[in-house]
Amino acid sequence: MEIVYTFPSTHAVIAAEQNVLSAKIKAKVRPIPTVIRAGCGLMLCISLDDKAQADKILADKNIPVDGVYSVQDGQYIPYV
Amino acid sequence: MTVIDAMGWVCPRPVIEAKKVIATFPAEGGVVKVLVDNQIACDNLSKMSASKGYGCEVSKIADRQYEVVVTVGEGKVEESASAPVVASVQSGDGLVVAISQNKMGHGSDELGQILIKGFIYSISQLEVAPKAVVFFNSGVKLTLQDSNTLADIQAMAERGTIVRVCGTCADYFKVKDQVAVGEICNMYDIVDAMANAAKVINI
Repeated sequence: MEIVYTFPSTHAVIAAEQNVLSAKIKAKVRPIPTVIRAGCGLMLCISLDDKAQADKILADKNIPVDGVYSVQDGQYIPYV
Repeated sequence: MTVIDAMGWVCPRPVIEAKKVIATFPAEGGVVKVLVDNQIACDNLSKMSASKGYGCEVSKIADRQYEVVVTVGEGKVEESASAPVVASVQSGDGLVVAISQNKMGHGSDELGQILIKGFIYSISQLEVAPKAVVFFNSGVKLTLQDSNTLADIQAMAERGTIVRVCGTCADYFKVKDQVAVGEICNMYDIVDAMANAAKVINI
């Protein structure tokens, strides 16, 4: 299953991508679908298997996260 | 002998037109004379001839006036059909996306490098896949095996998009052996894709 993170700023997305990729986690930057939020933001997509590690990296690096969603059948469901 | 008056033509048109004439030759071959006004066109016709096994004679008639006689021997004609234009992009409603750098826009390289990822993903999600995507200059880096955009480009290729990667550029960056999607192409193929596009998006 795919997990996506949204961020409050473009700088946060860039920092998140760089840190997650340097930890050898497969991550992809994609535009945020308008169903989640209107605008031109970007989100970071990773596999659910890597979520725990990614969460730790984002917390350690003080990278602010706006929201976390799981992608199921093309639907974005807030991850709790 | 067919004569092509290519005076005033800019490369690669003299070569392309010569190839078109050669493609019409019968199996026993033929001769085509190309009149050109610059040395580069002579060199390109000579190179094309050498690569195809044709005879080629260049004569300087006057200042900015050259005659290039290309002689195609028996059994050599078929090779011209598989000329550098690999697989002609179909005309029609085709969208061609030309990506000339590994980032999107100017201002911040860091931002541009993240934007291009979102852009490539987005075009891979278009309802109708682009007819072709061509990569040149630093854009070729997006097609490498360790590129973050590779999977999205491969997905487009699987949907039928022709992916062309500039061989000169891949060679320049010394990454030719790392290109992991599409076909290595030359300028003829890039021009062919653009010329046959209904519309071109330049990045």
